[in-house]
Amino acid sequence: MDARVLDQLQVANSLQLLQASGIDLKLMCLLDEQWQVAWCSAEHPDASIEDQIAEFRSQVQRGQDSRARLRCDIAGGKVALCYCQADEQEQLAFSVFILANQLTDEQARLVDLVCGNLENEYQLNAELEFMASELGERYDELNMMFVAEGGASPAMFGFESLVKLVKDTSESLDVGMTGLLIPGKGIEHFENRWETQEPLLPGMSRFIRTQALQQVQDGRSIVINQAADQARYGLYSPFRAKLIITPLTGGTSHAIGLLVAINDGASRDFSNSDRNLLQVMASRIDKVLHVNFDPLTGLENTQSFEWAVGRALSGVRSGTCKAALMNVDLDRFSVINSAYGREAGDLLITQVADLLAEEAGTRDTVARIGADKFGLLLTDASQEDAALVAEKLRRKIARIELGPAEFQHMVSACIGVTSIDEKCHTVAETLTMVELANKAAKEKGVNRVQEYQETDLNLASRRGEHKWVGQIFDAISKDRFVLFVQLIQPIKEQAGLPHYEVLVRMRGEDGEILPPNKFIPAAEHYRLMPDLDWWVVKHALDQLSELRQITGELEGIFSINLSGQSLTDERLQYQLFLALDDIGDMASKIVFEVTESAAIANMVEALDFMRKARSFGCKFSLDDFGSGLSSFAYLQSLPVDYLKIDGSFVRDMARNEVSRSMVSAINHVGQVMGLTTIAEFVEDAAIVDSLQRIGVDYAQGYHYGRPRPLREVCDELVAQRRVVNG
Amino acid sequence: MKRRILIADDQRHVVRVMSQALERQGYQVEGVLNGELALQRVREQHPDVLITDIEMPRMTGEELCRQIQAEMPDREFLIFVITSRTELEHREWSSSIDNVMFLEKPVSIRKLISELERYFESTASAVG
Repeated sequence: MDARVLDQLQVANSLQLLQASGIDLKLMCLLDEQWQVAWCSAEHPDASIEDQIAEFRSQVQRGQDSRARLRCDIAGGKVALCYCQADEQEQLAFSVFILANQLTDEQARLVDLVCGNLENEYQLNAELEFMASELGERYDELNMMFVAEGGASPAMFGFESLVKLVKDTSESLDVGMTGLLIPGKGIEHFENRWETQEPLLPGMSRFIRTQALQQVQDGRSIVINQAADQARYGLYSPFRAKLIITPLTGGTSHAIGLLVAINDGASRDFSNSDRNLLQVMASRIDKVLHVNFDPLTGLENTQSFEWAVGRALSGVRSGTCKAALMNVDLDRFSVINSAYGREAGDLLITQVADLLAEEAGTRDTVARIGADKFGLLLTDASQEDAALVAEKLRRKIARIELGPAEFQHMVSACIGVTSIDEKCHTVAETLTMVELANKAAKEKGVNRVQEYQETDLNLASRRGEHKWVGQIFDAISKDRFVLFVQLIQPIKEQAGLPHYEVLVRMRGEDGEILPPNKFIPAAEHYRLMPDLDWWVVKHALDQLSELRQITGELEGIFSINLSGQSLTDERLQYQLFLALDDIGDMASKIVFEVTESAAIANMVEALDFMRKARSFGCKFSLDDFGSGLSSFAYLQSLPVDYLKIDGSFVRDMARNEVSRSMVSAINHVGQVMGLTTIAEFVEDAAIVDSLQRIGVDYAQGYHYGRPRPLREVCDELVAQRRVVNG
Repeated sequence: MKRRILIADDQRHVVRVMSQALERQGYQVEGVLNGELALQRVREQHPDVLITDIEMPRMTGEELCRQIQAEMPDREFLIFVITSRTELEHREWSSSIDNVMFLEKPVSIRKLISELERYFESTASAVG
């Protein structure tokens, strides 16, 4: 028992109590479990006392009872009493030794009582000590969970953050060695605080990899404190070490790796508490794995890949290694996805991921960097080496079989390849190079490998495109975009409110207004359209809400363009729904324009999004109808209210019979389906005349006016309202 | 009728913490500090549930379970065994004992209470 408990006993009080009752007390001692004097009423007790204590001790041990009261009458009328107190484990805890002159029965009873109280006090103190230490342990556990939560941030990517977590684990658990092993990802890291045990590592790592991983597939941790524990779990290691082995899932349904705490065989046993703490750290590692790795394929994700490219880039610049990069972009993936369903799409993705992983060496990085896009970073490879690997991959991917026989040749990929050289300055630039090569491959068709060539004019002109990326981000953050609107005029007698299409322009750094054809292609190419679209939606709705506050009701219908990328962007959609919810019934005056090709390319997502958005009251307009695949069958399945006839037919309809019939046919189908039709590019009165004869509902074009700033139009609408209200 | 729970643990604080929590749940709780006392109490009157530690003086939890199994093969009450190790490590000897469940140390009182509730609900529905 803890000596503290004995020290806490208020023996002096007991002594006073006994003395006050008239007992002629010569001596009172408190003896610990070793029969050593822990406290004594006399400063210099007589040496003969020790002999008497020894005598009592032998009597107690003969009696084999650690809880006893012994009385001994000594010559000269003195009485010695010894009370032995046991703890719960039936071990001697302490004894009280008392030497007194003659005791009456009553006084003897009082001594019994006082010693009984001391025992109670001792037990309570012992219990308190236990509770305090247990509380301390639980507190530590909680504290560590808390620290673990705030530890390595997911903003650190890939391996680096994992290493930090393993180090934290090692320190918090105070163990000799902590290991992180994820065989599928080539991750093996030991935090070794022993230093002397280094030669153990390879064997230990093999033991953990080959045996332990199978034993934790049920998700439970294993604690091994004794050799017998190992056999119980079917493990056979040559080490006399204590282990806790906790599975890592990385967000998947099975164990993909292990977090292991290892202590010397002679150290304290691992407790359940240690195991709980290790599990907390494992779940933290799982989170990092989840953030850095794609759950479907187990490959690294974009963030993690960019981090790896950055590392390769600094290696190349310092001259320590060379590296090459490729990106693999599946052809027609969206078609495959919508034709065979998401499951088939996922299956294809995992098959391609497996092919890439096979091709990659242990020091290479394979990542899934988009829905249908993969990145492969090859270390110690030149562009030529990479091109060979790419060619091999292209052939393998084209041989993947999927779905019914007639679609056998649907699977293929375009692969862009580049070396990473000292001319690359940033990760973004490096990724742009390989992206451009890929884009060039796609332009030439499907199933191709294209190496990046700086001299390629076609590529070089695109290189300019990526300069826009920074511009666009900057313009979004500094609100350098400006909203314009163009009137959509009702041309049928019974047509309703005027419509306006909201358009976006960029204000250049010198204040000049830049048309969309300058920046939209770059925004599309670098997938910035959702950001841009959201800027437009947010600012348009803000301005229109303001207008409604002044005019009471919105005197017009406003349509806002949404790109194909936005139709599949969950974040944008979430924000959009919140915004629609905010504006309440004004949503009925808002129309979203989506192009036919965007809607069809992402049919499933587009349908889902459109249905949800319409539930807020807004409407949809199908833009550029007639320009793309123009299937009337698709038109039937899309929940749209407006049909915008592609401007190229409208512009030509006065001169070209075919164009006029196209406009007429589209309008007819639209009308039959109950849609409101809108003709774009209406440049003169002759076209208006033709449209009216055909029966088109609305017309939009220079004939009715060029796009004007939304602010200006809002001001006008406010003024009109004032005139009406008089 | 209050459900009766017997707790056997040589650590007074464990008995105290558990008793307090279970009494608050409306159970009638008795605590003893070793296996021998537990067996004696069980012989006198069967509890509805016996909660016992493994490591105890005079008679360990394992011995207690074996003894109860031998003396009362038809007993109906549940035994919760509290262990500082995983259940797996007690699988061998516990395979011969009926109606026994394991709880890991440190015992989560919340978990214990919900296990008890679940147990009593299942027995109540089995009976009535």
